[in-house]
Amino acid sequence: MEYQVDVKEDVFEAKLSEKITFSDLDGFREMVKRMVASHSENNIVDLSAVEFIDSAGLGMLLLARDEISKTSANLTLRSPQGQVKRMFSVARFDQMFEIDNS
Amino acid sequence: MCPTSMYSAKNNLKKQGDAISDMAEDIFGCRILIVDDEDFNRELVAAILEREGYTKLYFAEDGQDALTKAKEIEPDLIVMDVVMPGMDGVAACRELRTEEPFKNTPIIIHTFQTDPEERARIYQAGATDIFPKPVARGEVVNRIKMHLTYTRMMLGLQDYHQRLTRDLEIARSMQGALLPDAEELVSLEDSHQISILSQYEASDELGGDFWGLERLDDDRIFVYVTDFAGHGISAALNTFRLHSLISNYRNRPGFKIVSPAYYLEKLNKDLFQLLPMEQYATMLCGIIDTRNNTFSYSSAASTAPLILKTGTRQIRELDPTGYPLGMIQEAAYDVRVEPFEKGDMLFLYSDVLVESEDQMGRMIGNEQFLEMCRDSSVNVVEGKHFLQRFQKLFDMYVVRPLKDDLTAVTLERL
Repeated sequence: MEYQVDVKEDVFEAKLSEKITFSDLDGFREMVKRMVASHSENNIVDLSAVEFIDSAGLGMLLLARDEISKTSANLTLRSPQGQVKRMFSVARFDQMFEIDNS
Repeated sequence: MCPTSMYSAKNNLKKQGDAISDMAEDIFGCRILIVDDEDFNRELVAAILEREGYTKLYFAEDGQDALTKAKEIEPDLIVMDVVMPGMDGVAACRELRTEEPFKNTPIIIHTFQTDPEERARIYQAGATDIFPKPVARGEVVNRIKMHLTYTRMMLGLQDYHQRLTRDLEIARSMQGALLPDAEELVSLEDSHQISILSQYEASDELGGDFWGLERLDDDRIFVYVTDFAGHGISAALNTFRLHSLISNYRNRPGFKIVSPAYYLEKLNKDLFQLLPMEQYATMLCGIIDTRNNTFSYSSAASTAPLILKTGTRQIRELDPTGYPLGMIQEAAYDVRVEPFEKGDMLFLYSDVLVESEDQMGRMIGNEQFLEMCRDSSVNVVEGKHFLQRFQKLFDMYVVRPLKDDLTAVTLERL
């Protein structure tokens, strides 16, 4: 997994790419830490460039949701594509996350 | 503690923290063998080491004597001269390296030689380090200390690694015990006219897969496959948690599997209490009903179950949608009912079959997986050959070791 961060006004946006799997746990945790530390009210995880997510990757998104909810900020997952989109639909992530399909 | 005594203590069940604190202990009790044909040189090295605090010094007078003494005392480190009568230091070094206990013992060669080619020859013989002659006290002291410390750390790591590997092997075999036993399968096959075949392959790490089944009555069998997110020890511990929940349900008087959805709702509630936020399981469970010719199932985000007509390329991919187990407190599940006639075969499997990669790093993916299933089914007369064929195709494609456990189960109505 690779990610780029863009912070503007009150929006923290992380654009993730490649694959999100078990081996990305440390990198993902670091991303969540930066997100929490930014104290932004709106947090966006852009998934449009992510090709693949495994079950551990879905667990990491839950972890992010949990951390962000502690600060009462918002978390939006943006534009899951392909396999990621399929995983989201199978695991009913649309019911658990705010998902922006724009 | 010396490296050697640490090595022999490898069966002690010590915590890793203890092993690290051992490394800070003094190294002065280590056995050091000093090999030189001249008394003066032996005594000089010994005096330096004694003054530093080393207490277990041993001596040999030439290469042959060094081999004999080394076998006797199994030194933690050897300091050896090159030019000696009979077997010289380089030959003795080469000889020592062929014997198991001395494969990694630091051997320090003491020499006047500064010629690069000669030094290369000494290293090729297996020497760990070369000390220049005449003896420089500071260098001898510091480099011996460094080699002893380094070797001890390596042995500590090896020891830890061996222990972990053994523990993981035990844990893997314990995971294997979560699967249905052969007797149970045979009796269900006979009573319900269903051929049940399965394959389970544990990945290098501990994993989170298992499957099981249960007889409900003369016509119905309950079957499930489950997979914990992640790998490693946490996922493995979770499989034991889930398995004990399932066994509790099974043994609880009055507990009835009213429907697959009810079963998942109950498991979800119980697991939600037990699991940390990011951990969850996926599961598929369903009831094969041979009287009504149906398979009714519920899914907690599992892989899509398949129904194949064996001998043909017909395949139906069932709907796996549903909340994973342990993610939200109150989750409701749908029951979906599919026709399941004689000759139909249900295929349940773990995600490693779809998510494994080939040598180019390309993933199998859903479409290719389905095509592999069709190819495995098309010419088989009996469903029981399906898994064998599938395995062949899978093996041609993927690179091992697999990153996750492999579970594949077929249930065919005869």
